[in-house]
Amino acid sequence: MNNTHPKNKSLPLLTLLALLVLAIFAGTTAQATGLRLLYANDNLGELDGCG
Amino acid sequence: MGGLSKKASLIKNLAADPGHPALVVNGGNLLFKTDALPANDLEAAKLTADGIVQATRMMGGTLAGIGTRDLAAGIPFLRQHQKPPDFSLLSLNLVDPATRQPLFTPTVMRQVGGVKIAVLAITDHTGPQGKAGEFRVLPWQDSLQETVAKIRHEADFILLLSNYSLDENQEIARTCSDIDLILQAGHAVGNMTPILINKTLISQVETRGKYLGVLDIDWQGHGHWNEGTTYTNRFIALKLSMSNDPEVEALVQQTQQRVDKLRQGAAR
Repeated sequence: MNNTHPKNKSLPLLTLLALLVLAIFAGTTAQATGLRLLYANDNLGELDGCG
Repeated sequence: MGGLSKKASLIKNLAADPGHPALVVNGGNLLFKTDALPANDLEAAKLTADGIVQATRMMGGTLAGIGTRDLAAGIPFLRQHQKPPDFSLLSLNLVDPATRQPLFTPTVMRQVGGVKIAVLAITDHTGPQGKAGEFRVLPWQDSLQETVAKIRHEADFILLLSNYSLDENQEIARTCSDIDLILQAGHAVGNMTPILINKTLISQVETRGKYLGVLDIDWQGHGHWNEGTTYTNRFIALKLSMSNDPEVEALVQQTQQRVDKLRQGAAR
């Protein structure tokens, strides 16, 4: 009944290690995020300025 | 007719691209041609400015920096258009002379796609100061660094709308390295292709609503302009051949008619 399996014991440790590696990888790999800025300045009171 | 209605149509098309979540930004000096308005044209200039703010909001604009020229009709007029969160007029250093507290919103946060953007604005303190204690503009050195330090951990991207000159903005970029982008207003330099100073990109668009700046960014995080973040910048001319946004066109025409009527009445 007290028989233990070393293989099973190491499984949680391995899982933990794998999660740790994944977390480190995620933290050091920047995730590019798309962004668009539509910008203008100095309209200077113009209602109908065109280029 | 209708630079603003062409701009509205263009912005609506560009903002509808699902691959590029967009933020509409007005850098400053939106409302008036000059720092001071002649008394005989004050009401017409205010009517025009009312129309410009309405049109800006209709095209998705939710914020604008305050340049020195926006102060031409006084603080109470500007306050009429301060309607956060729908529309915020921003300035960190435009303050009440008695309390030295900002008269308008110093900074706002906007979530654009997966990026949390802090937008703040500064007004050029070398421009006119308020008469009779209405307002005071403090040097940027008094508060900018401190404010950026407070928000840098809350935001993915820090955008400064600056009414200062390019020389001064380069100094800001060297001093406040957590600012990712400076969009200039005032000190007209025309369409200025973005330049990188320290860790900050600086750009500006031609005056009088003739162009729209479009900056597409694949953002990798603070300080990464040289290390993976890529961007493309375009200046799109608002040509007469472009289509008009019907709602904004109607507003522009209505505003122009009211302004013409007012000026005709004043001329009699």
